[in-house]
Amino acid sequence: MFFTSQQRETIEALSELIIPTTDTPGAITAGVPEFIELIVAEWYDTEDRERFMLGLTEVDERTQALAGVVFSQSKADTQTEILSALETEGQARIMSEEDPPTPFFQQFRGLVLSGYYSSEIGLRQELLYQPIPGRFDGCVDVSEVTRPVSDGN
Amino acid sequence: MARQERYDAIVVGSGITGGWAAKELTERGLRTLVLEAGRSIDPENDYVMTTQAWELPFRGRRDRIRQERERPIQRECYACDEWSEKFFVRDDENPYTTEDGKPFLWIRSRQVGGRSIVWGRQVYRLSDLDFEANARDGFGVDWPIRYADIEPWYDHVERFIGVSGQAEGLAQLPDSRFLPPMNLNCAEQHVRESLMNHFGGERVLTIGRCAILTDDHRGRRACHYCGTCERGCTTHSYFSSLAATLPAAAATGRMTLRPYSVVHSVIYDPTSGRASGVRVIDAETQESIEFHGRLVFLCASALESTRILLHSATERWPDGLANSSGQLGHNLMDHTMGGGAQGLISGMDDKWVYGRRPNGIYLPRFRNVSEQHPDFLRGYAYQGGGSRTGWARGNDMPGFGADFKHALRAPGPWQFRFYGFGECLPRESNQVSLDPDRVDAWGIPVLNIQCEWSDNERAALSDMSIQAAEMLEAAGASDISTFIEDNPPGLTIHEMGTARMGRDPETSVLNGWNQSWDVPNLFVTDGACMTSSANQNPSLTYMALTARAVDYAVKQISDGRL
Repeated sequence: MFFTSQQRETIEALSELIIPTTDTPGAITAGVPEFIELIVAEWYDTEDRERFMLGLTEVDERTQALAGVVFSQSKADTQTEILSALETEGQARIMSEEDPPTPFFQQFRGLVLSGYYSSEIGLRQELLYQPIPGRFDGCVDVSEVTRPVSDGN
Repeated sequence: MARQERYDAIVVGSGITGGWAAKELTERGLRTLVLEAGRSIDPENDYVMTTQAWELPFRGRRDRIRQERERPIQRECYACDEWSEKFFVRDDENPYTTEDGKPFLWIRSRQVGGRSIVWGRQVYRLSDLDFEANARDGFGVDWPIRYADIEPWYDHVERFIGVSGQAEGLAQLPDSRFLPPMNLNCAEQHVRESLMNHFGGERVLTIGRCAILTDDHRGRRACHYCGTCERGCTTHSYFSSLAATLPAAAATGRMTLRPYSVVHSVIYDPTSGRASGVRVIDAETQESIEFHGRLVFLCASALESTRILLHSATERWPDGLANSSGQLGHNLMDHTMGGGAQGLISGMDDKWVYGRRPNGIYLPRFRNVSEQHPDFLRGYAYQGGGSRTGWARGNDMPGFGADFKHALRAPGPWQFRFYGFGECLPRESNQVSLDPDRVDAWGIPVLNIQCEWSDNERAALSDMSIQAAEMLEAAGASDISTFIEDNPPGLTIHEMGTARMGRDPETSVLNGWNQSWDVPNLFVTDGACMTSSANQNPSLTYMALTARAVDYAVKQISDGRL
């Protein structure tokens, strides 16, 4: 295992906050935290991994400073507030700097998106699952295709 | 211990041209040995068409670290992904060398079926605009053939492989024998009509012409639109040698297919002045074996066929077999790619597509068709198309949480992209030679490749980008952005030339029948034979030239000349 149990809890809380359980399962049920662990441990290069770990540590540090507990133990409002702040700061950096390294929020959300929409739950329950469509029609009413079709990935 | 086995014909390579040579030779009664450097492919076990992302360790992101070690060059090809990387060679076993600052990406497959398992499936005829190009502007030598020479062979190949597309009646891009076209989607239909109105038929957007079946055809099933052909198709809906030509050759009972056979060299018999066969290294045992045949067809891919000839030097031809002209290894070409533009098409928010079409649009060449552009010779064409964005646009949207998740269920705006592919001039300085200092995993000297784009290619890339933006404007697109990618030669995987056809044995390696000027029973029918590159995807032309060359060779035998 690559992450400590506290890091894992933070990752679970962040993932579920980004893609929560609604009428379909959310990120935790879809196995997104395990996917993130695999990518950070065995796919990322050193630079991406360090940036990720720094960002993750900062999430808990900021929560401690604000609420006196780690992120996963904090209240829903606190979690949303911190994640929103991270998003805003990251977006400001993207807009103001020339080609900056992806800020933590955007990095983390990217992992959640690719993990969720490549999971069995993401592909079969959240997206319209059409492994063998059988025909192609280039112009149908959107109501016939109610959800995004997987792009095959 | 070398064995002696004799065949009527030996075909080196089992890919898109090797399969055609095998089919045409065996159907004309010749006992044919097909030598393939790589392993056998069993579609039932090797194709991964139905494997879902969640079944892969990295969910389709590829095992980055292992790929960097085993396939640092092959991974540059989009199709060398977590599903399909096994259909590409390992670079550590198959090295080649380039000079610093002059990269060339050589994307390769070694397996029964070759690259036809993972090819792009786009098929376009060349026209006399292409066959006359060298004679017109003086770059390269004149093609020894014209459209009329190859037209019946395009027909022959297309009837067999199955090509879907729309007839447009354009002189610069002759129509194929088409199966029904795939549909344009709503955005593409809109852009087609806008361009018709704005450019009056000079710029025609049509559906891509592809070797994918839209009807059942000769025992192969129509496409089911799963969208990812390069994973292998168990219904054989796209053409590959494994799906169509090799089974046809096998059905004659006259083909012997030998995998794991790395061809070391062509054996030349100075007494008869003919090739007597080939020398093979067994890829599994490293054993050296000789096979003998009356005809030798090199169909190993442009650079592999040339490498074999370079490595078959004799006393008479110290710089490579059949190289009286000195042109063997020279005039390497690829297509440029990646000048273009993209934008958003408004309206049609209530429309979408059903199914995943493994094909895009094509916008045939319009430059230097009727009048000469001041900045560059030859031409380019676009692929690309319209689509609505999916969940990945979440990366560029603000937010998170339930609303964010549910917003990604609806499709994003229609986007449209023109992506250009340009002709490359033949130049002697773009060349391959044997590297004296390095061998591959089978002890065969590797290629040193020296290839660079010239100002002519760069000028066309720039124009592709400008004209793409102009056409998007004409179609009323918004948020238009242009791009010019810096792709090294090789990556388009249309590498060709290095054993060109010509009219004169002093300046070309092959005659108008893909026959060696020097060694009359030796034929090279893959991309190595190309005299100019045109801008069309070349595989269809290679297939037609192969079938034509076999027909000629067999007639020469019947007439007692071979």
